[in-house]
Amino acid sequence: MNKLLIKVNKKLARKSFRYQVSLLFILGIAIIVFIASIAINTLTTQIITKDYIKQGEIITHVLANKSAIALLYGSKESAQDAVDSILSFPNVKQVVILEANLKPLYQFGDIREWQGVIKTEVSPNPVLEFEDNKFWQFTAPVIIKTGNSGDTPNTPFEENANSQIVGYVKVLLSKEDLHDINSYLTYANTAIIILIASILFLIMQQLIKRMTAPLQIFAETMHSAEKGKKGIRLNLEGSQEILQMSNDFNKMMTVLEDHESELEVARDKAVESARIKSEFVANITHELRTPMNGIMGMLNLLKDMNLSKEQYEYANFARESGELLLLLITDVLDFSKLSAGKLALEQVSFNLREIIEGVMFLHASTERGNGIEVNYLYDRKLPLIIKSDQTRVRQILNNLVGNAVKFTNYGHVTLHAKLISEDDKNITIQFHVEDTGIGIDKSDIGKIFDSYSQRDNSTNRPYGGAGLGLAICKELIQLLNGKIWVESEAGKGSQFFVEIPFLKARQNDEEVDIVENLDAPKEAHARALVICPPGNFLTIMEDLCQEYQIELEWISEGRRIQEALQKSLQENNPFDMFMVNWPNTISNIMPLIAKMKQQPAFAQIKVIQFIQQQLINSDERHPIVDYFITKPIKQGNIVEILIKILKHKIPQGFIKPKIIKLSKKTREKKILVVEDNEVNQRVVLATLKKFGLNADVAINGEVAIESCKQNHYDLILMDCQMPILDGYDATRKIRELESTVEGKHTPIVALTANASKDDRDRCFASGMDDFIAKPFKIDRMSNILNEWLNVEST
Amino acid sequence: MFRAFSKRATVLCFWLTLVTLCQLAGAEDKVVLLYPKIDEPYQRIFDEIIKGIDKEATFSIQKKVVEDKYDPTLIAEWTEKQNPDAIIALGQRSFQAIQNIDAEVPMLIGAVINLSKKLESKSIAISYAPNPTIVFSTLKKLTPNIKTVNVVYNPIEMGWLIEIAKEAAIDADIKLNTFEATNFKESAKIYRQILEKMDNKYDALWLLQDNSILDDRVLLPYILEKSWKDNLIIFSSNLSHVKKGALFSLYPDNYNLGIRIGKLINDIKETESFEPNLRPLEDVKLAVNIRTAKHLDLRINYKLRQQFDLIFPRR
Repeated sequence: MNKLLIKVNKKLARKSFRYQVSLLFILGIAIIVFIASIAINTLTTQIITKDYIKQGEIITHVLANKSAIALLYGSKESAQDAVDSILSFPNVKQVVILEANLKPLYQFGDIREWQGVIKTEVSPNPVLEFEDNKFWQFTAPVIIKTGNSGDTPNTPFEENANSQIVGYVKVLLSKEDLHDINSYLTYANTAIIILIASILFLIMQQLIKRMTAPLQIFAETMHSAEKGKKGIRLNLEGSQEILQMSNDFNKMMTVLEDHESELEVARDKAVESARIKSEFVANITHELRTPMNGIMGMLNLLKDMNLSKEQYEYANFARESGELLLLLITDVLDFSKLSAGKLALEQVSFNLREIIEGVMFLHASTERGNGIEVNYLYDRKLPLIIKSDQTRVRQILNNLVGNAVKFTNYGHVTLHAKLISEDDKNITIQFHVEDTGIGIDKSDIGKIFDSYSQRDNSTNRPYGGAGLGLAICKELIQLLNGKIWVESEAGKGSQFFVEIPFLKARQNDEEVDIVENLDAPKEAHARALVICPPGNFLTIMEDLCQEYQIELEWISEGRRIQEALQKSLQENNPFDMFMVNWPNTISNIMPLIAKMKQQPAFAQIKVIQFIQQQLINSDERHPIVDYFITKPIKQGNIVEILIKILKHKIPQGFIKPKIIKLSKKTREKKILVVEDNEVNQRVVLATLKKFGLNADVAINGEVAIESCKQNHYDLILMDCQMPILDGYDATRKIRELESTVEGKHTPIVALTANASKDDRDRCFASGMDDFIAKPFKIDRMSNILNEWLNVEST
Repeated sequence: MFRAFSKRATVLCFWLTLVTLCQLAGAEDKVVLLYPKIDEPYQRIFDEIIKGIDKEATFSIQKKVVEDKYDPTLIAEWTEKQNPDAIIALGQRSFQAIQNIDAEVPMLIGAVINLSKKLESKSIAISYAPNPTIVFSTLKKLTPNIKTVNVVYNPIEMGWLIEIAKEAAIDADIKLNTFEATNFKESAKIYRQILEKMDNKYDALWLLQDNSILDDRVLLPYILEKSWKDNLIIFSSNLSHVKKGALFSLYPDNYNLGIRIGKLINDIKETESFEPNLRPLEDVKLAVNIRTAKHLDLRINYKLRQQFDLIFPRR
């Protein structure tokens, strides 16, 4: 019932005001009609019933008086006379005169049995003895009383009035007339009330119409105003309130229209300003990234040339600085985009472990990172490939790890990637960056995510930085629907926690590179003797050994090496390798190992040393070491080395061949590089040369079109931002040219610093086939070449 | 000194004589008179009776009003305290009141109709029922041809009167037909039989003051209607019946009744003898319905008319 009422209420509320008032009035009248009708009928019936009963009593009383003689003489004739005298009264249906012994003396009518039992002590007055829906039954004793008259007191000379009951009379009175009157009254009352109500309703309708007309006009005018019509004003007539409403509305419209004009002007200005800012950001991104690409590309190429140790160090240092500068530029640009709300996210599949390794490796290579352990732990339950905005994820991790390294003088910075929750489509991952650095005061914890906020803003502050990193982190995490929090105490290190939801990617996403032969080392069931101090690195080792199912035995002192080796011999459970994380300069581990390896039983045990990147060429390299693995440990490196060490123990078929090299036929393909920047041209050409490929160069789109007209190319690498004719228009024109030749379609790959999704879409929309972002990795270039130059296996 | 003594002795004698006289005065007979407090027109009746008593009495009367809701115990106590030589009770209420009095003194009851049931041996009662001798002589005056009188009576209430009536009828040369009835049904039947058989020249019907066998609403109208129709002579001992159509009735002369009561008490005092009895009313007046008389074709001359104390219908 409640639901129905709510439904009706809702429906009514939507109707017009006039409708509602009319309905209300009708309902009110209906209720009044109903109640009034019932009330009047009830009252009238009661009054009439009372009258009828009174009449019945009188008739019975008269009969009783007239019956006295008949009863005294037992005369039926007299009784009949008495009865006849009351038959003229309406509704008298049945009468009986009873003697004192209740024997009937005379009865008229035979409609029904007499009801009730005569009591011996009856009221001297007639009483309504019984009634039902059809009849009233009255009874009265026939009393002969003495005294002057029946009702006056006796004289003072005689005893109390003598009264004797000589008999009884009963009268049955029909209710027919009452019912008829009742029905008549009901109909008449109802008809009259309805008539009056109808007249009232018609009058009210006119009144309502008159009252609501101005409201109707008001509503229509408001509707027009809401639609956006201008210059709308009311000119209502009516009551004071209506006039007031009309005036106020007109004033309000004037004010609104004035405000609207002002807002329009402000809006246009804001839109123009936003457009200008957007263009600036887009331009500055390209302008900054392009030279940076040149710098980074050249430095990467330089590193691969035969440099002296010193030259290599300088080149590496310059490369690192370039990477950091690139990061800072990205931060500043992203910050401005975030502020303008212009930062768009993309969803691509990527190798999360590779991202993490890249971040850790970058920060471990810095000067600060040198003096501390920079490692990571990757939850084995986590997938390698996930879907999200990899750029932003990398940026977040970079900022957190960079921050941790910045504020840690000794000890370690460790990134834990953990699975928090997952279902069929989604996965939530927690990144926990832990450091043994200077920590954060409790009072500062709330401020660290504020923009431009630094722990120490003095010019001598030892830690550097623009103060944007954590602020951007927080914004990006929120954009990715994640959360970030910190636990820290001054002097006791910090722990930053980030949880972000990701989408699960398809298994074996062909676009994403993963390390090959990951499972191969597990088949060897190897055994390793791990020599390192207790602490963070031991945890890394334990995790690594568990991942590749290597049985680990750990010792922290060199003097235990012999003991461990002897024991393994006794148990016939030899070690396959030593895993050492100890700088040689402060220990004699390597000489001890070298000494043990002189024994034939232990000569075959391979030695792996984990070493900082910077020390790879230093004196820390002991000749006894078979393999150096730089820290942080890259999955690719450890897998490659474990395969090399355990090849003899791994069953056939578990090791897949490496990436296919380009064939001679492929190397004869013709490539066109369209790039206006000379440095970038050199980078691309040098990269292609690595693959044994030569290429033609066009300095802008127009030159590229001319080249295409004169030559057939198997692949075009097209920069997008160029003077005279940019990459997009050039692509379109090339496609137009190709449309005249059936079946001709030259693969065009965009080569651009504009890395956003919109840019990519724009590239594809213009007719390009693929996309490679600058600065590009050699692996990525290799994939592109393989794909678009129709690679054949070797 | 002698003069002073003499003076004192005179005063003393005076006072002694006075006291003795007072005591002698106090030795006069005292009678308690009980009468009801009642509304008019009945109060006037008792006043008339009391007036008569006062006129005749040679005794002191201590009057006591008996209220409507009286306490018999209190009445009795008060009466006994008065230490009366006799008690007069007027009206039915006073008569009821003296039932509880233990005093062994003569009681005189007056202005009561129903007496026989409760009459005590120690009282003289003067009924309001007229003496049949006077009734029959009046009948004879008005309707000389009447030879037979029919009367229905309740032997318990009026048995004593009928005995007197029988004697009076003989003296009046009238045949008295008496019929007993104890309730309305019986009396109704008897009255019907009488009325059907009556000869309108020689027969008459006498209605008594007896509410146990005759009522004013049913039987009386029937009787009067029948008698009017058949020109029958109906006379009554009830004044109200004359108004309704009976030919005549004798009704109390209250003042003279009072005098009679006074005389009776005086006699009792003088003779110091007291004989309880029940007697009919001697002091009466005559009420006649001349319309009935005319209907019955009775000749009423002027002289006769002068003897009527009350004539109906009233003008």
